[in-house]
Amino acid sequence: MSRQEILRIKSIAIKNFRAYLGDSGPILFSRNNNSPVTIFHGTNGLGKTSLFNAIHWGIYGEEKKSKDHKVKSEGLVNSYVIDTLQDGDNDEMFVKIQIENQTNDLQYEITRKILIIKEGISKELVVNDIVGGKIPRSIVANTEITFAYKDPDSDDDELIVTSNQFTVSALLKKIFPKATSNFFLLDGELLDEFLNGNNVFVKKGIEDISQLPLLQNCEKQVKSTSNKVGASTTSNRTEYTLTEDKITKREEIKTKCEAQAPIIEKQIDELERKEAEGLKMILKYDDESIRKIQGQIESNKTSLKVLEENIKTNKKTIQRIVYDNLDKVIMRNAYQSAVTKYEQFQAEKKLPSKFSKDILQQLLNEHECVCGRNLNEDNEAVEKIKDMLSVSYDSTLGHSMNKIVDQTSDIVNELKNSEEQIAEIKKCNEQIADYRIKRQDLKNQNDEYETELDKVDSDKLEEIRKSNQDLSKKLKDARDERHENEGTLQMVTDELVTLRNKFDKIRRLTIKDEHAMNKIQLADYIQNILAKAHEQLRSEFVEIVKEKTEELYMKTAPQAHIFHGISIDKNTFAIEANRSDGKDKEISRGQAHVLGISFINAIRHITTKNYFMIIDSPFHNISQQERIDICDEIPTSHENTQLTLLVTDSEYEGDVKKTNLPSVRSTLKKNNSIGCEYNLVQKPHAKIKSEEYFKTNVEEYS
Amino acid sequence: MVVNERILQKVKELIGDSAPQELYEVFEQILEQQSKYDQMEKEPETIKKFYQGVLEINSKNEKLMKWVEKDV
Repeated sequence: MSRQEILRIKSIAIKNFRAYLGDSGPILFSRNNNSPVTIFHGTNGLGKTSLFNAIHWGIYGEEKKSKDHKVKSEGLVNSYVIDTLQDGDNDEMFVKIQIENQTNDLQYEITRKILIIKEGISKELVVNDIVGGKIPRSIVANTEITFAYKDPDSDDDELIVTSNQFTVSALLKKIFPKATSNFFLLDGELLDEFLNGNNVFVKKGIEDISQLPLLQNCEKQVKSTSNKVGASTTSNRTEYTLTEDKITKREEIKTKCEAQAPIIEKQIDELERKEAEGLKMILKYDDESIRKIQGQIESNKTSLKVLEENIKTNKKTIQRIVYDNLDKVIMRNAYQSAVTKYEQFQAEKKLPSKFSKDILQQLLNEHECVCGRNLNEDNEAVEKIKDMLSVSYDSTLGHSMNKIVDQTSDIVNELKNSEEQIAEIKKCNEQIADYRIKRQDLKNQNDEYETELDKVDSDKLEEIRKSNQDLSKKLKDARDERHENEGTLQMVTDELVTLRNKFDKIRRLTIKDEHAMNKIQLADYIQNILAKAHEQLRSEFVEIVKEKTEELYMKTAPQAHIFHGISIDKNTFAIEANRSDGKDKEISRGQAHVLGISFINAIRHITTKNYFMIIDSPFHNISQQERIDICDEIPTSHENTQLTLLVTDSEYEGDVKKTNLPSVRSTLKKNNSIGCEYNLVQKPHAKIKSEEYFKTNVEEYS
Repeated sequence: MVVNERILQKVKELIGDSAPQELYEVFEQILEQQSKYDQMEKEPETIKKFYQGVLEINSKNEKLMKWVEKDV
């Protein structure tokens, strides 16, 4: 690539462009190969984007991107200048860019101006297309552009100046084709647009910048010249010319059809995607689905009722068992206590002649209900126990402990059965717990269903239905168009084969002049080589871009380890980072940003012009580590590229303490990459922004 | 104007190393002049005459034409 043209900005001067009040004088850019970076940094709102836009406006006559300019005029000319212009006074806004084409020793100077003059005192604001905003009706604005260049073939050092608008536009179009602006004036916030392949400028830009159309243009010229040779030497000129005309016309149709095919295809893809999305939405929320959800809710409600009943039944069962057994349990406990006491007294040979009622009552008081309830709370149970107590008391009165045993043995036997009932209680309790879980699940499920139903907006659904009907119609039209296009393409291709055969035959049979035949043969040979070169280079360029994009991306992308490479669509040049887990569509904004930068950088390996690269917000959406990686890689990744970065102070200085990482500035300084460094500051005496006027001053570091 | 070095290399590769130097020069000339024309540095009439001249002169070059015939 030794013959690559190197284009660099020498300087830029701005006067009264948006935030820039007054003439900035020439701001020099770094043209040092070893330190190719020029930095403009400042806090938000101090004119970084204005500076970027000034360069774009200077070259293309329009801004690259618009931000909310809250100044009064909201136009290109500084609002202070507009507001303070007196009747009869005039002023100007201009952007002057000096560019050098180092390879060819060419110098360009573009000066684009807006001249304003105040004629009257009217303050009524009207939209002015030249200024691109509202200005008082009394102000008249005019544009002026001049293009000056130094003729490399001339020894004269003076610049040749042209101010004819059409000539200048044509010249600028040739040096800076609009389609290529994406490759040297980059908006960091929009870098991910290279991923979707929708941007026609990307494709055209790559082709233009790599000079591929040059091969096709040469081929056309050779062909046209060759055909003329044939026409002038054939003995059957009419037939020759007629056939040639027919071929030209068919080729035009064929080119048109071929160009149309991917557009139609893309349109169909897009329509199909939209239709599928709409259908998915409709299917999800159609009447049947809603009825299904509602049915599910009702069914769940019924199940909930059954569960509630089951829980109640189980609770009742437990209650019944508890009450049924309460007296028996109490009695058993009383009996056991009595037996214990009896055995104790017997061992001590203090067997009383009788149990007093008090003793029994005391024994009874030592126990509570098995279910934990205080007996006093349950009169029925207490009454039962009292009855049993009386029986026991009566028995003790009979001086016979045996009688207690007799009286209570039946109860003890019954209590054995109650072990089973206790197990049943346990089982009931388990069932209740289970029912409760199920109940909660059903409630949760119903809540979800209700939420989903809330989401369904019937109007929106209707809207989607309508939109899908329109889409279906458009899709049908597009498919018909494709069918028609394919038919036409096939037809003209067939016709072309026949016509070309006929044309060759005429040429061979009717051109008697041997020299003319040689010319045609040479032309055929040249055309053939050019066509092959075009075809092969296109594929090779795609491969180079892929390889170089991958190289930088894998070094600098956030979480680069999750990717295994890059792929590029050969037709649209859309790029995609390929994840190892196959989820290629899942790419963060930071990763997309780095992919865009890597792509732009890679393109420079296939171009004839190595344009200067200006990036506004180059560190958008990426972490400090990735910023450092980019600073380490980009300035050296492509030889001789002049790099200008417009960054915020926080991006530039970084939060070193928080991240524990070096700042962008210290990284660039360490690598000795910075050639020029400017700080955008607000001029102290300028009125503050809230009062509508402010001035940006560009201060160069010494 | 500068022609993309890769384009020139590709042409060289396609015509072959043993092709006469004059043939390579034909391509180089064509690409350079067309590039100038594309950059609006040449008038349409001039470029037409240039192509006519290229075919006129080189078709008389026996060495070159021999190669072309052989290659075709």
